[in-house]
Amino acid sequence: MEYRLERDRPFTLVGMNFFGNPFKAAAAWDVDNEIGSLWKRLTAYLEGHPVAALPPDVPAWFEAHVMHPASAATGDYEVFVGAETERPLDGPLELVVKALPARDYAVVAMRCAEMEPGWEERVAAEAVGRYGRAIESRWGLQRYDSRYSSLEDPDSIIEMWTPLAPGRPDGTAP
Amino acid sequence: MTDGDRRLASVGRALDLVEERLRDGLDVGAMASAACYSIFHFVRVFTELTGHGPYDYLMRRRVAEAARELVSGDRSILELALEYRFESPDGFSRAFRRCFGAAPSEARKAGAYAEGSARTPITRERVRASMEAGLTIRAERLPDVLVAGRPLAPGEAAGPGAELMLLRPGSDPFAGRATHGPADYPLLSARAPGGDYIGVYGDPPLDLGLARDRLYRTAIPVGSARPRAPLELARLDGGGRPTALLVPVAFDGSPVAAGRGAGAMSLKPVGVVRSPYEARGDAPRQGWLSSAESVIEVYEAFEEALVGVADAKRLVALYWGDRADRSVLKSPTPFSAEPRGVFTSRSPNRPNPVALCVVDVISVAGRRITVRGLDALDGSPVIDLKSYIEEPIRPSGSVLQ
Repeated sequence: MEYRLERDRPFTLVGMNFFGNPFKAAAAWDVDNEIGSLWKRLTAYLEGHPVAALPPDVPAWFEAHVMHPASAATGDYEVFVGAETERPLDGPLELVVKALPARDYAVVAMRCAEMEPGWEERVAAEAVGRYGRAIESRWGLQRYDSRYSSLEDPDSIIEMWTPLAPGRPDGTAP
Repeated sequence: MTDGDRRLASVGRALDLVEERLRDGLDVGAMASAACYSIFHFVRVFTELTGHGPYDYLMRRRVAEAARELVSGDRSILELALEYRFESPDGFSRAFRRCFGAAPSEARKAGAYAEGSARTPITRERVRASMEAGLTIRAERLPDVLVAGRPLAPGEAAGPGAELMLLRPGSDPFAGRATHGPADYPLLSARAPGGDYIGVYGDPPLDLGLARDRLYRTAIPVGSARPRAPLELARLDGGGRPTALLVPVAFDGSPVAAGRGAGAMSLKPVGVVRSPYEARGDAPRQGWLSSAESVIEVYEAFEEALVGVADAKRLVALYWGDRADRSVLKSPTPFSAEPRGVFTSRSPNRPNPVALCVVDVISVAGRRITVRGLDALDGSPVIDLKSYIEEPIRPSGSVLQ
C-alpha cells in the first residue's frame, strides 16, 4: 500500500447516484450489489450518449459514499459514481452533479489482492497515525484510473480517498 | 487479534446494544458508534456478517419481541406498538404482517404466529460460526430435479457417490444422484419441483442447523420470499457431505405463480405507466371512455423493441394491475343483476390482474409514448406492447375493440 496526503482538494463530479443500503441484494443472494448495478447503469448510458460535460478520455472515475440526515436513523446512504467535470452545467438530464467541499485527503493506493476483510479499518488507523487527524466520516471516495481493470485482477489498483477533519496549514492536527 | 476478530467484536457490540435498547430510541447511527465505525462502513460490515441491513434487523427484532408478548400476554396491540417504538398501530401492523404474514389481531386470536421466521437474536457465536463456515447466500432457478437413490435410515449419512439429498418433514432423508429424462427413470426416486430456490452455501460439511437459521430467519424474509413446498434440497460433495442447502421459494410482490411450471411464469416489466389516475376510483371503467392522455415509459433495456412504434396509430397495451384484489373470483357488472365470474367479466380484480387496452398513439419521444385510451393507474408496470390489427382476428368473426 502507498500513502500520500492530497491537500485542499475540492471535487465537482458528474454521474449517477443511488440512495439506500447498497449491500442488501448482495448479502441476500446475488453476486451483484446495488453499487455494481449503478456502475452498469452509468456505463450503459455513456456508451449510447456522449456527454459534453465529460472529457473524451476520462482520466479517472470516482465512487463517493455520502451520508444524509436520514442515514443515522436507517443506515441508508447515497452512493454516487462518476467523473470530474469542468462543465457541470452541460450535464444531460439523466446525470447528476455532485460537489464535494475542499478537504485534505488521506490517499491510500492498494492492489485488489490487498483488499481482504478489515482493510478499511487499517486504512483509517493508518490515516490517523500518519497525519494525526480525525477522519471526516460524512463521505468517502474511491478513485479508479488506468491502473484498475477489475476486482478479480489482483494487480488492479484502487485509491481510497478519506477526507480528514480540518487541520493546520502544514497538514497536521491542530 | 485478527481482522475477523475485530470485525466480530465491533458488530457484537452493536448486536448487544440492540437487545439492550429494543424498547428505547435507537438508530443506526448509535449502532455504528457502538461498533466504532462510520455509518457507511458499519452498514457494509453488519450486512456482510449478519445478512441483515442494520435497520432491518432492529425492526425485525422489535416485531419479534412484540409478537412474543402479544400471544403470551393481554396487553393491547396499541400498548405494544408504542412500547416497541412504532409510531402508530398501523405501522406496527404493517411491520408485523411483513414479518409473519398475518395481522397482530389474527396472531392474538390464534394464540400463535410463524415463530420459525421470527428473528431471534443473532449472537456473536452465531456470527463467528457463519464466518468460519464461509456461508454465502444466493438465489437460483432450477429445473425439475429427479433424484435416483434410496431413503436413509435414521442417523445414516449419505454415502460416496450421492449428489443430492431431499429432506421432507415426516419422511426419511432421500439421497442419490440426479437423473435426467424418462429414459433414466429409476425404480426408486424422489422429485424436487423446478423453480426459484434460495440456497446457503458453505465449506463442507455444511452445518445444516446453521444453514437453516440463515435461510429461514434471514435470507428468505430479507428477500421478501416464502417457502413454496415443504422440502429442502441438500447438495453433497463426493464424500456425501453437504455443501449447500436450498429451499424452493416464491418471491412476494412478483407476478410469479406457485406450483409446477412456476419458473416459466416469470414476467418482467418492460416499462411503467404515467397516468393522471392515482387511485382506483379515478380510472374510467374502460380506457376508451376517457380522452385523458397517459405516457408509457419503456425501460432503457427494451429500447430496441420500440423500432417502428412511431409509425403506429394504435397499440395493444398489456399492464399489470398491481393494486388489484387478487382474491376476487366473482364481481358485480353493469350488465347483470348477479355477480359474474371474473373470467367472463372485465373486472380489474382477478387472480392474475393482467389488463389489456387498445390505445391511440398521440406522439412518441424516445422511450416515452403518449397515448389516449389507457385506463391504468399511475405507476402500473407495463408487461407488453403489441401492434393493433384492424381486421377481425378471432374465428368467431368478432372484432377486437
